[in-house]
Amino acid sequence: MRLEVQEFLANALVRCLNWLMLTLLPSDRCDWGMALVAEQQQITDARKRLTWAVGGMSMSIDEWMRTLFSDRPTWIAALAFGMASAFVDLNRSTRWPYIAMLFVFGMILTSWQPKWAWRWIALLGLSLPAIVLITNNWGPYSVDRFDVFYGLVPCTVGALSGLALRRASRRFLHKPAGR
Amino acid sequence: MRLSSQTVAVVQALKGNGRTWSYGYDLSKVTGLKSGTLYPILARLYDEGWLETKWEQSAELGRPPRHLYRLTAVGSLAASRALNTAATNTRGQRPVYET
Repeated sequence: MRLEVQEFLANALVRCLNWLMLTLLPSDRCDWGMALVAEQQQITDARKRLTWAVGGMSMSIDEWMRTLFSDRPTWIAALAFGMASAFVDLNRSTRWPYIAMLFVFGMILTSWQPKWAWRWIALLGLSLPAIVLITNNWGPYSVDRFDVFYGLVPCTVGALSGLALRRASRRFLHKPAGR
Repeated sequence: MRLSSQTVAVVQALKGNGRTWSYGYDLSKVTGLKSGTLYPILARLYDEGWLETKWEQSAELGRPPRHLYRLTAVGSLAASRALNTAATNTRGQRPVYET
């Protein structure tokens, strides 16, 4: 009975790990995840099957991290844009230049590299909070500190506009002849 | 491509099988590598054009198709060169081989 429970739990854990692995894996690596899962069926020992699934999970995390930190030029550009926007916001009495900059930069970065665009949104939108926290100079945000995160809104809108722009331009460029 | 000692082990195992297709679990048993190490190596070899793959429907009902691997002609040639380099490497050197 105890062995059966152990095996049931191990199998449930394996299924969870498989699901998580396939979810985390970038789309171009999904076949490899499926291949790894298929081989699990050949392993009769529950503990070995669990080890195999854990291996798959580590592969998935490696691939996820690799994809996350790929596109170095875009990372550098997003960081520079975020810093520049934050600098402008902290040295101006009005918020509009900051909002406009984040919108435009979000749009540019997403049209340039649409894959995992949330990376650019996070970097642009969180640059100001990061600078404010590091320097401990809250400036106009000392009244309501959560206001420092409002930059995430124009970034997101800009990123969505960038995606729409990219999609529209691709549709326009690939328009079939004769139409 | 730079080859780690684990990659050399995988290439050796695949080369040993010649033109016969290999299963991932069998390769893991032969090389002693865990799935988390083996599959990224296989994926990298595939990306480099050294490896060809195919799916095989399982004979048993309800089981998912299995992925099979073997070296391509290019891969086999490159593997021979890499294994020769590995063999000529003296002891005590870092086990990384270039092709």
